[in-house]
Amino acid sequence: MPPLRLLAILAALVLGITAAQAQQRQRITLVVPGPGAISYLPAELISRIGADRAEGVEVQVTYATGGATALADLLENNADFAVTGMPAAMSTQLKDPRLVALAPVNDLPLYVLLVRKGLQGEVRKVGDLRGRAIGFHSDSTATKTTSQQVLELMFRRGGLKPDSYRKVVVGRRWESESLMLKNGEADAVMSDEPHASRMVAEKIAFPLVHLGDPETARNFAGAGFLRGTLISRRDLVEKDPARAAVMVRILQRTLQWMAARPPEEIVAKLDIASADERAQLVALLRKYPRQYSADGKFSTRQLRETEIFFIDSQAGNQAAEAFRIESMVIDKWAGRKN
Amino acid sequence: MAPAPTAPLGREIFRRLLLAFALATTIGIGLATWGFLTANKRAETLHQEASRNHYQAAISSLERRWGREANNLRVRLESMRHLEDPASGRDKVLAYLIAQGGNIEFPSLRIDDARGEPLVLYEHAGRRIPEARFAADQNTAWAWDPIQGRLYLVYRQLIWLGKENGHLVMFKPMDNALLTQLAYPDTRLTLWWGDRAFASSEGNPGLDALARGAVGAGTLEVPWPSTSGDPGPRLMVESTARPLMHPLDFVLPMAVGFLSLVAALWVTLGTWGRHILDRLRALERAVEGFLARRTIDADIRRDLTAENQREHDEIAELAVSVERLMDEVSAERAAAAAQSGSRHED
Repeated sequence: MPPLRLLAILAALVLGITAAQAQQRQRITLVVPGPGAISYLPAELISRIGADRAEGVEVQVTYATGGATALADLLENNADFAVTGMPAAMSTQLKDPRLVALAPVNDLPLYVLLVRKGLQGEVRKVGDLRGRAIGFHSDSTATKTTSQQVLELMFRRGGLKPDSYRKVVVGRRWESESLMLKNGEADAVMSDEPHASRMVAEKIAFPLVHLGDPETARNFAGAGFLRGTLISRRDLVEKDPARAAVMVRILQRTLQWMAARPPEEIVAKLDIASADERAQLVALLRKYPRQYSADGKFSTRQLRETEIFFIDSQAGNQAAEAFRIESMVIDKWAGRKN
Repeated sequence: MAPAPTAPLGREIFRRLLLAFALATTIGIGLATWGFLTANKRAETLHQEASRNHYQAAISSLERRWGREANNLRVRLESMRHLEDPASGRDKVLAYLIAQGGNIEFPSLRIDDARGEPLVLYEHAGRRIPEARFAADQNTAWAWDPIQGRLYLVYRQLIWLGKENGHLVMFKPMDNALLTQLAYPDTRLTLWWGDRAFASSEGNPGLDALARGAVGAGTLEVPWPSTSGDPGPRLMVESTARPLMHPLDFVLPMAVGFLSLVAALWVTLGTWGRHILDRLRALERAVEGFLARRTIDADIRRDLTAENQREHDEIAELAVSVERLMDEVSAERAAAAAQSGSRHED
C-alpha cells in the first residue's frame, strides 16, 4: 500500500475515533442561580475554559431564579448537580434529606442590602425598613434561600421581626431585580454582585449593608459562612460515584485556574459585551480576592461557621438547631483542610 | 450352579427408579418453568395494562390542568387591566410575573399584539423562548427548540389589550422534572421527539442508560394525544421492577421437592423392591442349595420359610410350592432309595 494512502487511512481512523469520542462525551447538567451572579462565576467558566472537556465530559450550565429553584431542579432530575448557598441546601435538607455537599465554591460570601434610590434620606438603617416591601430572589415554603437567611438575620439584628415587612420575589436576573426596584414593587432587595454595584452606578439603589465590608461582617455570627457549594443527591452519588468525582475535579480545576489568573483574563472569558460591565467585574474581582475557594477543599473552620450562621439565622427552629452540617458533607473527592 | 443373570433384578429396579425420577424431574422442571413464565408474563401484561391506563389518564389530567391554568392566567392578567396602559403596562405585567417566582405553571410566556409583535416577553430563568407556529384557530402546538434540546407544549389564548385582542402565548416545558413527578416507583419514563429521547424521569443518568441500550423490561409506548393536529411526543414507559418471580424463587422449593421425591420413591418403591429382591434371592439360594445337596436341610428350610412365609403374596405361595416340591422330591428320593435297598437285600 502506498505510504500516502496508508497515512490518509490512519488519519481518517484517528479523526473518526476523536469524533466518536466527542459524540459519546457524557453530559452533566449543572444548575446555578443566575446568570451573571459573581458568586457562581466558576460554574459559568467551566465550559469556557474547557475544564469539562479536560475530564472527558460536557457540562451544561442552566440557570435558576435562586437557590430554592436550583435545588428543586436538582431534586426533580432537571440537573445532576447544583451550585447554591450551603445554608439554602441545609434548609432544604431539613425537609428532604437527599442532598449532599461535594465541594466548596466560595470562600467569603458577598451580599448587599440595597434600598431603592427614592428612599435615600428616608432609610438610614435597617430598622427604617419596617412596613416596606423587601425583595428576595425566590420564595418557597420548603426552602429558605441563603439570601433570605442573611436578610432575616440582618433584620433581626436591626430590630425588625419577620412579620414587620412584606416579602416580594424579585428574581435573580438583572432585568427583573432592577425593574422591581425601579417601579417601586420592592423597596429593598438582598442583592448580589455585580448587580449591586451596577444598581448603585446607575442610581437605581443605594447600599445599606454590605457583607463584604469587614466591619459589617463582624456584627453577624458566622458571617464567613460557606456560600456557593457543589450540591448533589445522595442517591445519584451512590449510583454513579464516578460522575460525582469527575464533577468535583472539574470544579477544582476551574477554581485553580481562576486562582492562578488575573481578573482581566477571567473576565475576558465571559461574553460581556459592555466595556463598563467588564471593568466593573474586574474591579469587584480585584476588590474581593477571597470570594472563591482557591483549591476547592472543605474547611472545617468554615463548615463550623456555616453551622453557627444557619442556627442563628433560623432562631427558634428546633430542626435547624439539631441539624449538623457534617451529616451532608462528602469530602472524599474534594478533600479537607482546617 | 446356574450362571449369573445378565440383567440382575436389583439393577433393573434401580434403573427403573432412576427413570421414574428423571421423568418426574423433567415434568416438574417443565411445569415449574411454564408456571414461572406464565406468572411473570401475566404480571407484566397486567402492569403494562395498568401503566397504559394510568399514564393516559395522567396525561389527560395534566392537559386539563394546564388548559385551566392558561385560562386563569389570561383572566388574571385581563382583570388587572395593566395591558390597557401602553405607557407602563408592560413593566407592571412583568413585575406581576416576576413576583410569582418560579411558581407559575408557565415559566416562559409572551404577549403579542394583533399583528404578532411581542409586547411582553417573560422567561423566569433567562432561557431562550422558542418559536411556536400556530395555524388559524389553533390553540395548542408543540415547539421544539433544537438549540437547547427542549420541547414545549404551547398554549395560546386571546387576551384583551384595551382596544383589540392580542395573544397570550404560554410555554410548558416537557422536561425531566415533569416526568419525575409523573413516574411511579420501579418505572422509568422517557419522552421522545421523533427518534430522539430528550427527557427522562431519571434525569441524565436515565438518558445515558438509554443511550447505552439498557432498556428495562416490558417497554410500553403511550403517545401523547395531539390536540392540534401535529404529531406529539411519545412517552415510553419502562418497568425497572424485578420480575414477579425470580428463577431462584423456584430453585429452593424444587430442590426440596426433588429430595422429597427421591426419599418417597426410596421409601415406597426402593425398600419394597429391595425386600422383594432379598426374598427372591433367599428362594434362589434355597433352590441352588437343594440342587447341590439334593436334600432339604435346615438352611434351605430357613430360606424358604423365614422370609417368604411372613407375607402372603405370590412369592410366599411360590416358596410354599417350592418347599412342597422339594419335600415331595425328597420323599420320592427316600422312597426310591429304600426300594433300591430292599431289592439288594432280596
